[in-house]
Amino acid sequence: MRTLFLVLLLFSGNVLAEGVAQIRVTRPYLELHTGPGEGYPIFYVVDRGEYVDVLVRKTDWFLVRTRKHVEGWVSRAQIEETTTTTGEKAELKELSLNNYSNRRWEVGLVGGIFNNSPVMTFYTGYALMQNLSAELSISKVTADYSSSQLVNFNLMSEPFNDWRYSPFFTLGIGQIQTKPRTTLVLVKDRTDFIAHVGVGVKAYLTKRFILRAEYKNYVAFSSNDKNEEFEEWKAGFAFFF
Amino acid sequence: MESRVRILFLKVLLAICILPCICSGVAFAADEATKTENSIDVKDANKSKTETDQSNDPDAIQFTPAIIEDVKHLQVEQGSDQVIQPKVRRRNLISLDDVESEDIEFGPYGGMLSTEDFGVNAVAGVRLAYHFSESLFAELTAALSKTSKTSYERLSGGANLLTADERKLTYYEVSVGYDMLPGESFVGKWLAYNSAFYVIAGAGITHFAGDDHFTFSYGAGYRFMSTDWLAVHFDVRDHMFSLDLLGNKKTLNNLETQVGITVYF
Repeated sequence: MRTLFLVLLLFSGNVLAEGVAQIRVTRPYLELHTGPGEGYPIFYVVDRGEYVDVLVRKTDWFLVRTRKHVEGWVSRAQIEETTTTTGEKAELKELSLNNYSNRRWEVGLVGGIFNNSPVMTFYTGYALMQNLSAELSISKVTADYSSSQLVNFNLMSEPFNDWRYSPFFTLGIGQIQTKPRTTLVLVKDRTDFIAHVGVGVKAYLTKRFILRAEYKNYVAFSSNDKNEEFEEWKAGFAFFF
Repeated sequence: MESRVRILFLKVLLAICILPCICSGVAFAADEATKTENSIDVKDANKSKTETDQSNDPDAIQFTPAIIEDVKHLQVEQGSDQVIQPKVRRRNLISLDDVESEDIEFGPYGGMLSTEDFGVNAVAGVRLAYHFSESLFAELTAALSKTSKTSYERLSGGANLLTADERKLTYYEVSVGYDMLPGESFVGKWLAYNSAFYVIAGAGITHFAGDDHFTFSYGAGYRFMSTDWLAVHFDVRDHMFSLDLLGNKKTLNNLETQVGITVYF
């Protein structure tokens, strides 16, 4: 919750950055839509040579205001065909695969199957080196007769992280806490240590987003001298910064 | 001006949602954040000032309409070298990359949740959404509700299936939504508001009857943009999970209707 709060504060900082961007229409005309989307009708056009203020951005749409105080939404494609006040081409920096290779933090949500039961995992990773990250994850498994919580720490090696589809390998340890369903009586909670190895693939999606799919094999060192093995398949989204 | 109102709104919203959880930390963190924000503002202003001053091509800047428009007044000062000293207030021009991006939605919602066998009860939650593109978005939701007694419990008199604590229902879900029918809604002759009808599906965990249950959810909603940054949502969702509390295992369909407001930032 506190993280969420901090994230929100981080973004609300942008709101405070007062100022306006200005562009000059150099294409024959600039089309103003009533809303930030391809389907919204064009209700106004700005002629070549005029200046407009760019106020806000929503995904790939920009809210602009003309000299006559008409406000409308312009597509990114058309914005990029204009120039800045100093006469340079109005170009927008785009996050790319290169930004991913040089990322520091990664936060993600993945879901899948753990030992034939649904599992959901929240994880965060920190890049120690370009190809090596430390990851911490919390998983919740909801099985028919029990629910488990896993806390894991692992190292992740990603030898080719400048590839769009990049394979990775993980090795880690953790703890599994299993709580039987309340409808079952006479079964106690259990906490065991676990170790795991994994393999997976990450696909760079767009902007700050990646897709991640992985397989993990767990060994639980249970107290009754008989080790248990679990298999886990997961896939999900992550974003990096 | 508008963004000031929004900040105020956002902070009030944050206070309402988060204050109970982290009563002590908030005031301090907010204080710190305001300080940092202010210092960034000053820094930014200075930065852009120096940039404008050091510009190699002053003519290009001098003759833009923005500058001409912002010449507030000309001051005549006797005794100085120049007869007329223009007092020009330059606008704080930023680059296109620094234009404020509003792809995140955050806000509370409330409504009714029908928990199968356990009555229809009030539900309250918060939603955080991120818009990937003009039609695709991801949403995180967390909500809580308190269920009531089953008909069996009421008729039998004293037989309680759940303790008071087990009756509380909490769910956390992550969903992906698609704005299927974006458009405009009209109020009378002069007012038009942007709106969208979206479909949404996701998965999560419901904590109910003392256990965690894997939950699948799907639904549809209507987003009404009262301004470019304030939206009103009307949603219907079905949260499905299995429960074996009443003997055999059964999949519950828990229908939820909700109304919410969100702020874009």
